Amino acid sequence: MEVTRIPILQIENYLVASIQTALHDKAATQFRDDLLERIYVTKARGLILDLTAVDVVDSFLARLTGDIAEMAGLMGTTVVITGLQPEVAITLVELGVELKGVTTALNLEKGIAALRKMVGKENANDIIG
Amino acid sequence: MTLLAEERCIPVKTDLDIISARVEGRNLARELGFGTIDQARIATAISELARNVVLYAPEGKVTVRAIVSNDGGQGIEVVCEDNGNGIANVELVMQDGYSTSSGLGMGLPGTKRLMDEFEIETKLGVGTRVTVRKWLK
Amino acid sequence: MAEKTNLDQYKGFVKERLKSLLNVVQSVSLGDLSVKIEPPEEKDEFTALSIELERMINGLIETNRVSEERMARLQAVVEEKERLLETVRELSSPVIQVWENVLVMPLIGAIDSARATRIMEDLLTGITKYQAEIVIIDITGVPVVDTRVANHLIQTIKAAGLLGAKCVVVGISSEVAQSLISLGVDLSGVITRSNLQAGIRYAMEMAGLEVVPKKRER
Repeated sequence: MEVTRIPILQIENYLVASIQTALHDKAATQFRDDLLERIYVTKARGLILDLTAVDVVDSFLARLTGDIAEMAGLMGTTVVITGLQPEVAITLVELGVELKGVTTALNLEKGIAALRKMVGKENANDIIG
Repeated sequence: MTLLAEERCIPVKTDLDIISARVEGRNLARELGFGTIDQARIATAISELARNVVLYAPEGKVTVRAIVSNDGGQGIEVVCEDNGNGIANVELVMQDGYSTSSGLGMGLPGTKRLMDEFEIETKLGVGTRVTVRKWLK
Repeated sequence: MAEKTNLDQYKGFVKERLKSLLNVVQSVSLGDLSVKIEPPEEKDEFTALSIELERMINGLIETNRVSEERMARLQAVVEEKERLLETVRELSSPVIQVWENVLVMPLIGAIDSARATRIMEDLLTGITKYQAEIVIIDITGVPVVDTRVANHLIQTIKAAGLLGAKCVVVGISSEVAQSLISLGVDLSGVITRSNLQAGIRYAMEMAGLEVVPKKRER
């Protein structure tokens, strides 16, 4: 069965992917693999995971997100999560799940601004050495 | 406590069923008048419980129903049962930070925090049943 | 012969009157006070009983009426109290935008679990509405900050963080600071400043802003 793939867009040197809710396990694994491959191919410095359309983040999805952030980080890509809904944020905190090593922003616009700042800092550090 | 006619039962075997279960649960919660945040809590709790079934048991089912308390309060009850091996050490799995070999915790302490009432019955070799309830304020 | 007929007649009469009075008493005990006693035109042995019974029923009707009036008044008081409580709730966690992307949330009064949840929800709604990136939570007016309140605060800060907003807690008195430390509350991730002014200065710094005096015109 062909799993519908989540579209991954490119804005400037960053990748943007919008997770729709109801991401079942096979689709989730496929998504993670697609993402990491795109990062590798495009050498994107930043990745935005947009969760605006997600109405439930359980421990599985939280772990998946953490895994993506960690793996992308290993490849030198900064990850920013955007669009978390208030009710999802509250549920995550009450569930006791931590999104480690992940920067968050309210929406896509702020996410890109945050990426520019962080990636810009990295570039500056590279130049200074 | 009395049970009303509103009851939905969702069989749980694969990860797709997790989504069905929480959608049904969320729908009932909304119909009963729970706000968005409580809807999210209930849906997340169902997701955690159903996922345990998929991970640790051959199969199970989730039943969501409307309930009325002795003093007339309304609420929702979610019963998640499976025919797995049962839980050997309930105290252990109810601790925060507990996780199985695959790195995934059983999500039970978190589920308990999300809901108002939490009960767990388990029998080795037979299965497990978790009952959670949330009341309208 | 005549005596026997009289006795039978008398028995019959007693039976009848008792039966009608019994019907009345049964109706009343079932809650129906609308039943009417019809006293016979001629005074008989049951007249006194009928009169007293009627008086008793009227007394019950009056008691019920007074009771219902009291209930209605109580109901009105309860509704008014509910309205007042609602107003207090709304006032209790206002979220104020003091600058672009900067919110202030002054908390006044005791915070129980229910209020703590409302505060968290109101704050997140405010962050979404004002697109805030920095929130100053002022707890100067919170009398008791124990482990529970501190944990609620930490949860709120975490939730705000998931929406991309940094929180600064101001107004922690030295007593509160001491009790929190002795209670072993882990505030390591929490940014704090002494008061609202210091909090706003921090917010400005984070936003890359500076407040400088206007150049004087010559």
